[in-house]
Amino acid sequence: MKVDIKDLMDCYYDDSVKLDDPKIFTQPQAATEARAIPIVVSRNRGKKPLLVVAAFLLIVTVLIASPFVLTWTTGAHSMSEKTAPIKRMPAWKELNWKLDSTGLKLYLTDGTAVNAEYPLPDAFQQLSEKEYSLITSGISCITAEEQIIVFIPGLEFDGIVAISNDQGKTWLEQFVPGSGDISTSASSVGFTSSQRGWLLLQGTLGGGKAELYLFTTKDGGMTWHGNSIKEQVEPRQIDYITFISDQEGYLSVGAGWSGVCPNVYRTDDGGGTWTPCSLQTDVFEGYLSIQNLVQTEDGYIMTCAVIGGAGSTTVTLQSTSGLMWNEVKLR
Amino acid sequence: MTDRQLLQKMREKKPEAMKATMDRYGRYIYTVIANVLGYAGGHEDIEELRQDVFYGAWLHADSINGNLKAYLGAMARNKAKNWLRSNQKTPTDIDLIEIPDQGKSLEDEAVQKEMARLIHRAIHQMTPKDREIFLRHYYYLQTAEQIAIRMNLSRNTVLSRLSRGKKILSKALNKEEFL
Repeated sequence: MKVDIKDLMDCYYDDSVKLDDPKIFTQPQAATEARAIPIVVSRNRGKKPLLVVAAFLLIVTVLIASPFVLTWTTGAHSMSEKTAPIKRMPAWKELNWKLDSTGLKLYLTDGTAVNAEYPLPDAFQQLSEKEYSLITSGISCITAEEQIIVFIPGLEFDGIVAISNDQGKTWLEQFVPGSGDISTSASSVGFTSSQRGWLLLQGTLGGGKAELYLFTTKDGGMTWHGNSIKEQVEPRQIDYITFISDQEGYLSVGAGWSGVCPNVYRTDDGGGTWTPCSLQTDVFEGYLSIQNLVQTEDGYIMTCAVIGGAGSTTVTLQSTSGLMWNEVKLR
Repeated sequence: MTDRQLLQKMREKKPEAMKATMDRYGRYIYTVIANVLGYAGGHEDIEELRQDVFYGAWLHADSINGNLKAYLGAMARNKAKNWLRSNQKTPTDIDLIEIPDQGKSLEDEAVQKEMARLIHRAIHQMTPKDREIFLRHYYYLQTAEQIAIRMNLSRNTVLSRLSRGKKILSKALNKEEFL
């Protein structure tokens, strides 16, 4: 059967091409294509003197305003400290759970030794065996400043996020509204600044499908708001999620019928919407699971494990925009 | 309000949902339509099609599964394509491609879903530049000349890359059987 490709594309949706400004097409007398080139060229030429003037004005403004800017920056130090990005604990360090004669503890390990131990809130020490197992299926993270964030799934009620800034001596505990309705199977928690954080909960629906809920906080964990993201992200298990900043984040989903692409998604509105990333790679079998994603001077680099495919077990990809990724061949 | 909540309110036929959807996606839909119509349509044509898109979404909110933006974007592109065709302004070149005949209509939802998956896979096997050229031509219906101007390439380069993209699509569609 033969079909016109343009009709075939009716079932497709694209938002990757950078579209032209509609003004180009709706100018008076409907410009023709033949006129398009001179329009573009003359516009660039016309801008040059303007650019020179603008640059001059900018320099003058900066010179005049610089003492004020310096004073303002210094004065605002205490405020900016609150929203400054926080450092991450090195990836090879992780928090684990330990139950000994003195109760349940969290401990920090680099894989070989225990680096630190953190007591948990008293309320967590008087629990049934079932509740203990529930807690140890919970998730936690620790920042380089040793702020500890723990999520405890709720048994009958909503789950709790507990945050400690003093190595477990005192804890701030807050319920996460709506989280009790989700039968949590795996999740992730983290902060991008001292005020903004995320919490991902996944409930199993069967058949490898998952409910995906992303909760976010803007006030250091005092209040949490959640939304289902399963309609934007293929509803499979998420195996990695991270936020580079308050707004920008990445996740990869587990095996699905769509194969390699798209299983890495990006958000630039704090998890409100997720866009599939384009992965330009030689890997055509299996799927990619992000292991690490870092921001560099030129863009981003991520390392992915190839799950279920033949050949390489890991690939490295780089991107300048975060949406289009190209495989980097390492020697 | 999230898209999901917006969609829910549209299903409940709450008028404020229509306004909120237009506020959120009006400009985007206008841009998609303008890009497909190119110089063939004026502001009034684009505006009329934009109203059609939102009215269609309002009527069929119950059948919108998933991403609201994607639904609106695809609908805008398809309405603009049909407008070009009915006004006989569509590019005359018709690129036929062979696809396996499984005895099901292309209108069938399951077939469309599978087709979208295969197209997506094919498109992401193309190099970034080939992909953009392919989408500009077959999705946004831009001519080779328009693409050459936009991307600062020669017309022959555009045509050869389109041919390469078509081969990748053909291979992807015929390698796997439909549902």
